[in-house]
Amino acid sequence: MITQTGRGIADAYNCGIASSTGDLVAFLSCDDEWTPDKLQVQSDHMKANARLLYTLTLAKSRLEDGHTPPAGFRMELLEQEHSGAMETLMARREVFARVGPFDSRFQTAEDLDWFARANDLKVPMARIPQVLLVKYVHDANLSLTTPSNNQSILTLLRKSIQRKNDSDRIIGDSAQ
Amino acid sequence: MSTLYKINRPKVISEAFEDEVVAVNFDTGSYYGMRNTALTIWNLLEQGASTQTLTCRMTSLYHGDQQAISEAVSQFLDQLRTHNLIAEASAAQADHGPEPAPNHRGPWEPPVLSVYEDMKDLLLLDPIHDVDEQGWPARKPDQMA
Repeated sequence: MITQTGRGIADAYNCGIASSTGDLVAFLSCDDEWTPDKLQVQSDHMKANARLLYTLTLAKSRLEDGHTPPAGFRMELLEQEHSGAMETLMARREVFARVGPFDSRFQTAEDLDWFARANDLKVPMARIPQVLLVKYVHDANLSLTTPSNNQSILTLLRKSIQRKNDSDRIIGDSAQ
Repeated sequence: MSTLYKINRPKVISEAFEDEVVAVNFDTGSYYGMRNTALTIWNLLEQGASTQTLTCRMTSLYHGDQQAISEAVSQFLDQLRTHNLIAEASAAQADHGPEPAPNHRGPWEPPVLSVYEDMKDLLLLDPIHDVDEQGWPARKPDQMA
């Protein structure tokens, strides 16, 4: 057990990564559930595909007992299998040297920022079409209750657009 | 004929940065960068300007061929509509009318809308964007103290 010295989710992820010693790193929130075969399926897939630096899987969301979804809630997330994000991630440890750590300036959407950065760097990844996570939705889900979530999303997307523009500029300059 | 448009909130969120407006459509998972005079057009749409007011305002704010400005504004609005970033508004949302022309006009640069779809899977995971006064999720009545 490692005690986090800093604050926030991004810092917790970074702390875990820095303390890890294995080749593959995976993440789980205290309120979500991996399927029993999650680590086996993903590590087998990554061993068989050496060029992949990370994989994501499908997930299912379940509403915690005692809660009802409000108007406007994206009901299909409760009814259908959907793409998974952070809690389905399995990454080779080396990918964090390439993409960098999670940005602790983001109180929420720090995972989205990391995936956007990895995407912009064209880091090889794959989505395994199998449900390997059950995500529980409740009133303490940070991204649902933090008013700054939209702000974080817009800021990280702005950064991603700037990276794409810079990259296009470099390609354009070198072509001249 | 003049049409009144509104931004498709809460499905669409946006923020104006210094040289660009960034918007996300949470229905589709697409996101957008709007540059050049698109910033002014988006700002006027947020203020509830009709198409007629928008065109008048753009021709008063920028040097350029009036016909070209009018066509570019119209094409840009078509693009925004195609991507469901805006929709026709009811007459109740009144147009404030054109404002006086500024003393200094800038050079005309057509509005640019860039469309990005590389984060669709992850953006579509965001379950809800406008939390009401009760917060979220609402507790069942029998769970409330």
